[in-house]
Amino acid sequence: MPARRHDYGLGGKVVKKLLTGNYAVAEAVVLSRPDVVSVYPITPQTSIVEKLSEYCASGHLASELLLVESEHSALASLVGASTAGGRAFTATSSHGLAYMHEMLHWTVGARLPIVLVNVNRAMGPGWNIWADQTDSISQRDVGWLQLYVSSNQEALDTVIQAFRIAEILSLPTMIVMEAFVLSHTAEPVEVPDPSAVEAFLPPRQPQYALDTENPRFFGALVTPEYYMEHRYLVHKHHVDALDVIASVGAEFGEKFGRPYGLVEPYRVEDADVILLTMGTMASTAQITVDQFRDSGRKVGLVRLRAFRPFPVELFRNMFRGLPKLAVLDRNVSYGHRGALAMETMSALYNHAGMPAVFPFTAGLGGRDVSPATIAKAFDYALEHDSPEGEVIWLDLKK
Amino acid sequence: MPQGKPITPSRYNPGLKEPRAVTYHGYSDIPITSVTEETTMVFRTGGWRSSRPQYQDKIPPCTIACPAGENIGQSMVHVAAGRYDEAVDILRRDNPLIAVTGRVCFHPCEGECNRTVMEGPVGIQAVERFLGDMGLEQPFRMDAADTGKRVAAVGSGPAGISFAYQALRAGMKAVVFEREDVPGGILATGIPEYRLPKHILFDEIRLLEDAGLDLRLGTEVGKDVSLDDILKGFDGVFIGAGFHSSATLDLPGMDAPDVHFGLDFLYRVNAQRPPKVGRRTVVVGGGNTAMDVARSALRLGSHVTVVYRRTREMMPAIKEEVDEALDEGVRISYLLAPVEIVRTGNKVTGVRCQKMNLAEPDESGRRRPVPVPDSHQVIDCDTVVFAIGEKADLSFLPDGSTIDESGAVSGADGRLIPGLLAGGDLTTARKTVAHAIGSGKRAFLAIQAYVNGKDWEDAARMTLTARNSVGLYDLLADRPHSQAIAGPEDINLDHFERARPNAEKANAIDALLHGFQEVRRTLSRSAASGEADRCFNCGVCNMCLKCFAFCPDSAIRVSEDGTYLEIDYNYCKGCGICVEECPRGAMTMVWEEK
Repeated sequence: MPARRHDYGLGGKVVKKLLTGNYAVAEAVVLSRPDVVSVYPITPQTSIVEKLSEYCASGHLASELLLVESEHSALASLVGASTAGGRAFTATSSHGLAYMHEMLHWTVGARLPIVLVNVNRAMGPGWNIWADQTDSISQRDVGWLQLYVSSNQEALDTVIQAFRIAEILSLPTMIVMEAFVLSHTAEPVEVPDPSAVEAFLPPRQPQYALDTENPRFFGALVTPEYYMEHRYLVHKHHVDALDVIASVGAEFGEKFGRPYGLVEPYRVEDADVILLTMGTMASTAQITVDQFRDSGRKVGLVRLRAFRPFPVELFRNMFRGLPKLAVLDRNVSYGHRGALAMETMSALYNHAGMPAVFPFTAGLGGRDVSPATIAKAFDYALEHDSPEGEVIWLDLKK
Repeated sequence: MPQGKPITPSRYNPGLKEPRAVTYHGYSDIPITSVTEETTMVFRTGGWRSSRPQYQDKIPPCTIACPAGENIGQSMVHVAAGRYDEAVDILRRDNPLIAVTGRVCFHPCEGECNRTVMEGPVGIQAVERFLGDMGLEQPFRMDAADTGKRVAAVGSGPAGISFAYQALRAGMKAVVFEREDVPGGILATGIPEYRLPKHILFDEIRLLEDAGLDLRLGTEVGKDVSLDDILKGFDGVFIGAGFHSSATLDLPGMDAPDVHFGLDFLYRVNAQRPPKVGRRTVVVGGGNTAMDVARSALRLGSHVTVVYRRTREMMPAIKEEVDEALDEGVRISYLLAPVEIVRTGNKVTGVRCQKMNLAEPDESGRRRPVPVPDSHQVIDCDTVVFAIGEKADLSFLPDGSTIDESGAVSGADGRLIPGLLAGGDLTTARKTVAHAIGSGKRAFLAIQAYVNGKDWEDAARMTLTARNSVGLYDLLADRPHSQAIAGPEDINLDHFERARPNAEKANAIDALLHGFQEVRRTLSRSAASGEADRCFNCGVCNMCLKCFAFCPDSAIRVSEDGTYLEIDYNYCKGCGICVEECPRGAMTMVWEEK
């Protein structure tokens, strides 16, 4: 397919390509010029690292490529690279993300701005390779920033922004996209001009780095005397991250024509019910919102992009006075409810004027979330004053 | 090797300051993560140790197996590094005839070689031959000051030469009396040219003469000079007269002209006056002499059948000699013994033999052959050679003398003759060139002790207890070492790749066409290096630097001159990874003393 090129007026050539989510991520990584990429395969992220390997072999990507024997090593090796001052990247999914759990904690405590793409995939057994948020949700407490995307274009754009955000805050950042519906589905994607990206994302300037001329010890013992203060700083910088994500997203919009924020609202004005969700279920929900609006029912949609840090104050402001809030999770915290619902309710509690919250769980293990599924959630919320039970399972077979 | 001495300050350790305490107010001024402001060398984590690694050589099994006591392990390190002259010097501390043993030795070293667990033993003998041939251009290194002492040897075979050589090395004068016109003993008169070319032997001995060896050829002790005169004129005397007479049998028909005996036969072959052999020769015996006779007869144009009373596995000959004999076309009949020489007039027409069975072991430890009744057969032949054993000629000793197990000689009155020792084939349990060389050396150590004041009875017993190798212990003197022999369990095979052996068997030849030219060849330089590269260097540090690479604390340093390693015990935590990874077991862990 011939590439269409057009200027954005701000300089630079843009190329439009038909790309799967994985290949869009690979293009973003090339543009971001990491020093080190570590590689371990797992369905359905493998074509990201395969493409990066091809690019390294051809010289198109001038990164050090590390083939390791496990995901734990994939992240551990990047801890070394990042501590030495390099920009570092890897990708994983599901059991691979779980395998590197210990290193996820380490990266946060070490304040290393590593960027990782996690392709949302269910945890086994039963062995399941399809879209499910459980893998990344299980890691919500480690301290990584988490950005959930709903299109291949957003995946590409967010990877570039993530390096910038991570390096400003010295916090590792995860871009999360769903298995197959994004990773293996091709969409038209604009690939920005490399020099424009270079201007937007300059080389990393670490505060500390391994340097044999100036030797230091990293990661040593910290007693109860100071440990809590280190962790307070992580917490404080998570709060600061809300502004950083928003401003970097706005700057991206100025430079590349596509602005991004913490949330993406859709037809929320005067809504009786707003559906809050993450990922591609939001783009499906837009169809249902349009259907309901067309038939006179006032519903709206908010897609949450930044799950970590959690935008507590923004939500309170957005949902104050809203009658009902339906929250759709592609995960469940067993025995209780989905994580997005849980966090939202925690954010809204103790404040006046907050909506009744209807937690829904759907789409586990890649079960299709169709417009009809979304319609069930809106119908339920419209017909009930409050939910029966802690969480309502949609499309569950009895 | 220095151990535990303070490491000099360097850029990595700029003179050990004491730790500086740092306080912060709180989150407003602490660093973003746990990172130190300065080097952490101030924390001497070596204090955490409960056990410590040490460099400690072990003795390689080849070195212990060598009856001549050569420090093979150390020599191989030099061969692999291309330092051939140093490798030659190391072997020559213990053996002055390496070009000879590189050809004729039965190489027990290879039988103990740890590399056998991979492709097979290192071709140690082939490498020794390579070094020996190179060494023919390299003078002997003799450093000792003149002590003013004089010793003598009777016989210039390997035992006598070894004795005299060690004396020269120790700063004594050495005279060797040899009754033949050529030096070398059995090396010259017994071993044929195709196994040991005489020019090689004489070149090595000439090098010894250049180093001060006083060789008196054509001088028979007991005829041209008396033992008494020698005893009076020298501070110590060694008898290495060897076995030069053949054992005989008393069988019907033995007294024909075409019946010969092994050593006499070989003597004449080596003197270029070979006996006449007919078209078919029968050789009786299973040792090296029998093989040498058989292969010589082949080269003189005869079909040859060897008759041996036991089985192939029980033949005392070196295995390769038997293999090469068979390759060359010698036939061997086992479990057969001669009973009569069949003649027509004076001409031999055959050997009547009878079949043997194996019964209980005899005094040699081997199963005794017993005749099978009514099992006679005649092997047609026109020449017979008996190679069934050797005898010594000690007529120059006083009547009634005896030689004890240490080689000490007592007169007819039963009293020890001080300063007189016999050795070589006369005393060693196994009659090989390597044993003879070791015997001559130990005899010298005994006589040296006596010359330096030790009581003769105690000194003589030293031949039974003295070390085979002086070279090994010379070199270990300034390196920490244990007496342990490095076994296969000391080798970390993970560090070695399979490699093709370079020392191949000799190709089978047409003996008649080949004549008395050497059958085997010397390794090329690349092949010798290839073999040395296969050597594990068991128990001997060869500066491979694996310990240095593996140490997680960077607590191992290479010395300034790059010749040894030191462990910085300020930081070594005693994890033991270096000891575990050392490919050759040249390190050990010891408990820390409190």
